[in-house]
Formats: sequence, C-alpha cells, structure tokens
Amino acid sequence: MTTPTTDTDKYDRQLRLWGEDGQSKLERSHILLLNGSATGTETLKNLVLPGIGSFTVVDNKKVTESDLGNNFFVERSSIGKPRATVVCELLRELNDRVKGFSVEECPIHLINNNISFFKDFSLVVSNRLPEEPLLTLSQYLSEHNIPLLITNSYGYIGYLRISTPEHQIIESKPDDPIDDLRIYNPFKQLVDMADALELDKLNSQQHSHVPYVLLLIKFLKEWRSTHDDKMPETRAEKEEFKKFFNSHSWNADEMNFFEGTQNLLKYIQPPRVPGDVQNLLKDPKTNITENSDDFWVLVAALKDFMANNNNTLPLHGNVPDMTSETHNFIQLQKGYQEKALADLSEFSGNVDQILTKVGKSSISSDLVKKFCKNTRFLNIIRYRTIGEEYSQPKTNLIKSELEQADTVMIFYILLRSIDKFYATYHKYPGSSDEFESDIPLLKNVVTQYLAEINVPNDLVKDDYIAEFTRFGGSELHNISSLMGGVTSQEIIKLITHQYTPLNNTFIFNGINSTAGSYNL
Amino acid sequence: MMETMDTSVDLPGRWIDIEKIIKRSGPFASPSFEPDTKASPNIMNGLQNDFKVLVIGAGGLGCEILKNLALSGFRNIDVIDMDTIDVSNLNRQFLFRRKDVGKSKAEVAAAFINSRIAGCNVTPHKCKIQDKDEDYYRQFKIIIAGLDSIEARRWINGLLVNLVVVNDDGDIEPDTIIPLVDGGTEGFKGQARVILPKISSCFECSLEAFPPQVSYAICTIANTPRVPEHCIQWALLFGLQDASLEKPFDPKQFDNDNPDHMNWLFECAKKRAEKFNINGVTYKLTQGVAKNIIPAIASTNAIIAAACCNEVFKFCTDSSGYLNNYMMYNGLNGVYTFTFEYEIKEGCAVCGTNLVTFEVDKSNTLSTFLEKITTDSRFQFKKPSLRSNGRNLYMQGLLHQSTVPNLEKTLSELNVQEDDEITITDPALPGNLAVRMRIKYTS
Repeated sequence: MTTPTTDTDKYDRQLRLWGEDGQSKLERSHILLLNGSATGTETLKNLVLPGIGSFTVVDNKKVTESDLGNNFFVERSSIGKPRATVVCELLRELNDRVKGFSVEECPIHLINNNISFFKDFSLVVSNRLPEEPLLTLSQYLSEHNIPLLITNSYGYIGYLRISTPEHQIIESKPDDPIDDLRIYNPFKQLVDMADALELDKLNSQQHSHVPYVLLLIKFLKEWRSTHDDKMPETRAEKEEFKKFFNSHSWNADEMNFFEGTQNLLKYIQPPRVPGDVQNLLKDPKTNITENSDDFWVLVAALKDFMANNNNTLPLHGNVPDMTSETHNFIQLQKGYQEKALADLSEFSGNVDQILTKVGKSSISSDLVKKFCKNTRFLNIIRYRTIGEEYSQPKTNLIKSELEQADTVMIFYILLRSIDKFYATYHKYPGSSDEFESDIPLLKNVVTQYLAEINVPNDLVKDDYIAEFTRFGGSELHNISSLMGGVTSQEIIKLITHQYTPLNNTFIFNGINSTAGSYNL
Repeated sequence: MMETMDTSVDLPGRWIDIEKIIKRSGPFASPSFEPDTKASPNIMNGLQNDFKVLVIGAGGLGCEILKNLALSGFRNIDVIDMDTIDVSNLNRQFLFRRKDVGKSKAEVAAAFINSRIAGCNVTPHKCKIQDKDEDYYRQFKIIIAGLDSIEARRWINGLLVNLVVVNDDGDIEPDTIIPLVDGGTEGFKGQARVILPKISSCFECSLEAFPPQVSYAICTIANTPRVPEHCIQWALLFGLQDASLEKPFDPKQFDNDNPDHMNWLFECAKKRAEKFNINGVTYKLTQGVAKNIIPAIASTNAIIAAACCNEVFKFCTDSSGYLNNYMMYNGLNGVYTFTFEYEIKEGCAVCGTNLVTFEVDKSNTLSTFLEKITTDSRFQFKKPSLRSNGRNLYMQGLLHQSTVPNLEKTLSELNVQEDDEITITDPALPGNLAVRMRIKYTS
C-alpha cells in the first residue's frame, strides 16, 4: 500500500522522517480515545494531522462552559451538545482523509459491560479513568496485544504511561549511528582494494584523495605485521598507530589523512553486537514454531547467519561521504553494496530454511531486506502491565529517586494518591471552593499509600500535597497540549514500529519545566 | 449563528481551571503572587485586558502558540508572519486548510482563532519583523518566537536587549525588560527557552547550540562529486549559471517553490549524477537540498509550543515557578528532556562586552583565519568584513577586490600582533554590531 500521490505534498515534512512504510502503517490504524477532554483532543489533533486511518471518541459528557476554557475542539455554540460528537466533528475538519467516529457512552460503563468493544482498535488512549476500570481495561488490552496509553494533565503536572506486552522495533533510527565500515574486520573485497594501493606511485592530488577507509585498512595491516599480528589495543598502542598512520601523510593539508585520524579510534575496535540485539538473540522466542510471528523468524534467521559468519551481523552497505576522487568512491561504495547484497542473499536463505522447517508461509522480501539492513538497530520492549506496577511496586527505584533533590518522582506519588483519593471520595482533592479542607484528607491518603509501597513518609513534603490540592483537578490547556504532543509522538512510534518509544512512564513538571522517565 | 451571540462577556465557569491556579495561593508560586479575589481579579484582568502579547511566526509553532495563549485566557495578541501558506504546511499547521494555500499565514491564523475562541482578539501583521520599529515592540508584556530562521531570532533578540534601559546608577529598569520566549523544532527534537534580556543569557550567547548548515566544499562539487547531494549542489551553483544548458525559465528568477524550476534542477542534477555513476538523485532529495528542508511534525511542535506558553502564562500570573532557562527535548529514543541554565557568554556581541579571545597559528594566512571564524559555530558569520588597526583586512562590497590580495598573507604580515583586535562586521549580526576578536598566537 502506498500513499496516494495527492497527499505526498501535504505529508512531505513527515515522510522525510518515517517514510512511505511508516505512513501506510499510520493510515491503517484506528485509534480509540476515552474522554474527549483537552488532553485527549490535543493527542488526537496531532494524529489526525499526519493522517491516521481513523479515530473513535468515547465520551458521555455534554460540552460545558469549562470546556470552552481549555478545549480547542469545542465552540460556544456546542454547549449542551454531546462532547464526543462535537470534538469528533471539529477534529475531522483537520484532515479530510481521516475518518472519525463518536460513541456517546460512559467509558467506565463500556469497560464494565461491553469489554469486547475494545478488541478492534490498533491502540487505546485513556484519560482520567479511575483505577478500577483502568485495571480491567489494561488487562483486557494486554491479553489482546493492544497498546494502552494513559495520559493525564493535572494542574501543572503531566503524566503518560505506556503498556503493551511486546513492542518490536526494526528501525530504531538512533541519532548518530556509527557506520558499519569493517575497518577492523575487512571483508575480502576491501582487503583487495587496500592491497592494490600503490601510494608512492600516486601524484599529490591522487594521494590526498585515497579514501581514508582504505588507508586505515592498509596501514593497520602494515602495523600488525610488525606487532605479532595484533591490533592496537591499549591506549598507548592506539596512539602509536595514530602516529604511524599520520607519518604516511605527505603534508598537513591532506584531508583524507585528517578524516582517518578523526575516525581512527571509533573504527579500530572489535565490532560489538549491540546489547539490545544480543538480548534478542538469547530470547526463548527464537525457538521457532508455526505460531511464531515474522519478527521472531527473522531474529532466529539472524542467529543462524551469525553462527556461519563469525558472529558478525549482515553488512548494512552504506558508505558515508569522504574525501575521494569520484571513481574511487564509487568503486568503494560498490564493494560495500556487493557485500551487503551477498549478506542479504545468505540471510534470505537462512529465513527460507526456517520457514520450510516449521511449515510457515513466506515473509515479504521487502521486510526481509529492511530487517537485514537494520540488524544493528533491532529492539523489543516488553512493558510491565499496570497491574504489575500497582501490585508489585518498584519500591527501591521509587525510594532512591525520592532521595534525590528536584525529582519528578514526587509527582508520581501524588498522582497515584489522587487516584486513590478519587476512589474514596469520588472527586479530586480541591475541586470545590473550600479546597483547604481537602489538604489533610489528601495527606492521609498519601501517608497510607507510602506505607503500602514501603516508602518512608518523610520523603514527600507537605508543600506538594498543598499544591496538588490547589490544582483541584484542573486541566490547564498548556499542560494538556504538551501531554497531547508527547502522547501522540509515542503513538506514532508504536504504530510505525520506528524509533524507540518510552518505557514506560513520563512525568512533566510544568512548575519549572523539568521532566523524567521511569520504568515503573 | 456566531454573530447573534454576545461574546463580549464570558460565560460563568469558563475559566474555572485557570481560576483554581490564580485564585489560590500555592507553595511554589512567585513571592509576588497575590491570588485573585472576587473584589480584585487583577490577574484575570491582566490576562484579558492589560497584557499585550506578541507571537512571531504563524507556522508550526505559531499556530500552536496562538491556540495555547487564547486558551490560557489572553485576549490581546499580535502575530507577525510574512509567509503565505504552502500545501506542505498542512500536516501540522492546523489553523490552515487546503483552500487557504497561498493566503497569508498571519491573517488566516488570526481569523481562525478569533472565530473559534470567543472573546479572543488576534491582530495579524503580514510583514517582516524588521518592518516594525522599537515603539511597536515596546507595547508588549512578553514576546514568543516560533521561528525557523536563526537570523530573525538574532534580530529580535538584539532589539529586545537594546530596549532595556539602564539608569544612571547602573541599575536595570525592570519595566523595560520584555522577556523573549523562544522555541524551535527539528523532526523529533526541539528546545524551549526563556530569555530575560540583560538578566539571563540571550540568544546570541547560545549561537553555538545551533550547528551551522551543512556546506560542501566547492571543489568537491565542481570536481569530485561522490554523493547525490553534491550533484544537486552542482546544479544549483553551476548548472543554473551555465548558459549552454537550456532552461525553460530565466535563471535569475529561479524559484524554489516553482515545480517547473525544481523539475529542471532535478533533471540537471540527475544528468550530472549519471555522468559520474552516482545513484540516488531523486526529486524529493533535490527539493530537500535546494530548499534546505527540515522535517517537521505536529507532535514536536505541540510539545515545544506548550512548554513556551506555559512559561508565558506563569510569567504573566506569577502563579508558579519558572524555567531556568533552557529545556532541550529529544523524542527519538524514549522521551528525553534536559533542563539547564544556559550561561551568559563572556564577550557576547549583544548582551556582553563583545570582546572574544581567538587563538590562531602564527603561520595562518588570512584566508585560513577567515575559514576558521566562518566555520566557528559561536559566531555564524555569513559574509564577514575584517578590520584591524584602522586598516581593511578583508572587505565585502565595493572594497572587496582591493582586499583580495591580503588573503594569501599571514596575519603577522598584515601587521596583526599578539593582543591586537580584529573588528568583524557581518550581515548576520543584529543591528550595527561588530565582533571584536583579540588575537592570541599559538606558536
């Protein structure tokens, strides 16, 4: 499936990030929002704009005056009308390709009486859902492999929690990946090219344009021939090699030697399989059965490939620009690309073998190719469930964080206490005008909660309890919009399976604009 | 429908969420915070009547900022943007629709906000920020910039620093400080910051946080292209000038936004690439290189704009703490933020003494020196002119030719001694500022 040409112009600025493949995944997704509050509609806004397939809003409230004070997707004329319908209508205006649906029902009622309603969505966003129905929903979604995002804004504080059983990432697209150039362990074509260099026969223009990759390979080989075939390992040896390398430069202006020196330390170390990939290779799911999904078949094939290739990952094949004559650079590029193609062909063979063995149908060659090119960037995240977080709290993590100055963990304690307060009193602390009378009530709840999770009471200062009571359950548009931004961004990562999503909790402190992420 | 409704008076309960914050004292509020009461709703009055807020830019950040301010209770908002709406804006600039393509961003955005948010009064200005004078800027309580141009940010920063009055005792007059809240995004990354002119570090202090644009050596483009980008640059720099290459347009009128022009550029770059066996020149890449396209998405803009507006709201209400003074954001791997205090740069050309020490090798030619300072991300010069000891070392414009022979001379041959100052003027520097560099020789 590709994006229709009429929208490539409109989507240009995002296609440059997640490509046609990411876009088509977005266009096939159906996102469910529980509660059309400001935080919820801001989240959907940032998903409708880039073009998800469809969304559904579940909300049984009517638009009130206070919605006009913080929700952009209501109008003065909407007062008294169903909020689900109103926000759905105004959100749909943002993108005529996106379908929007509204369900005028109470989310809690739906969870308690018609839970199978949730099974057809790609992802569910919940907002301001009380603890009990949230746990029910979370368990159901977890069983059905549907990601759940809990997003809330509360006064100056924002909260996001993601949970999904297993999230697979092929293209984690790290910020500054080190190119796989095989300088430490060159393949045959590279060795041949380096061996064929006759530097002393070159004129000065040619000499200063030999790609540094070949220079490094050549001089490493020479260096090893006088060092018992050993690579430079210690710092002193590396420094010595650097001097040796530079001694072959004809003058200080040779850019190729300069680039070689700049990149030398990065490339003269043994190739490492990234820890995330190592963990994948050790995972029990690499024992393939006919029920295994494509991702795990590919990981198992990778294991086979590496067993035959000295524990080396398939070559990506990309060569960064470097000082060189055009022709030599193209030759070099070809060398890498041919090797990458050979690796891909071998890897595809590994995949086919496994598929035949367990009797599974074939995997699209595009997927095999994408996987093979990105083996350094693979990852999975297995999220803790909400149930685990609540019933087996990470006391040590929470305690040690709370002992730090200015930690946003303090807000986690308060947010959890607010939920408990709500369960007891059916309102948020400070929601009525005589807010101060709620301070001692909230303090009791906090004390009780801290005792429950085994965290010393003195780690939560009274100031925070007073501040949360002051908030009185208010939703400030700025905080809602910020959390809508963060939430929608994580949804895009989850749907496209590109980049690495949050694991698992993000807290924003709008008091001084600090934030933190925790795996809770 | 809308006309029949009286929007001059707010519906009761509309601002109940904001009121919880501004009517109740809180432990983290500023010491000067005085909660609103029924008898004296000073903060609400400020938001709705007294404070004028300026938004610079009605693009990805600007649309968000306008919405956020309107829903934070502000009513008197100006917005400046000289641009018109392009179809590629529609994936994030949510106040615009297809039918608006070609219209003024400022005008469409203002009209949308005014019709959606009852009582809000956004005034659009379709012009450059440089078209407005100091008196115009002086009327604002606070200014928020959502710009993609470093130059424009340097300009407004320079102006706001200049507006600060220091009295005869050397004290800053607080009423003359207009804070600048500045946001910027690129793909999944962004930053939000608060600049209190003359009090905290200014935009110029932190220029090095913005890496200079990728530039390719001219000789690579001309002689040894290797990657598709080199071929596209060739088409831009040489192909367009080459009279022997037929063009369906006047090369002097080359327009990035004209699809026919872009198509010609693409074909030209493609031919160049074929000649050198280089793969990968696509129309999309050609556009990207020629227009220096930076990826942009709704979510990052929402995050950064909200962080900025949250600071504006807190500044205007005193109801909480504040960002001190820079928040970096990166959403590529998890959700990463880093909040820190960007320090005032010693010798900042705008808010400091404007004198920096620069180390050079004694054997360096003026040409090498020039290259060093133009690639130094602290300065981001575009076309610098250099003078020292009352003498023109290197000039742009009319005097350019007469100073070209100096390029091959070393600094000492040009009589620049240790501890001498070189004065540098550059169109990228705001106002009529010059950077003074004190020279230290390394060998």
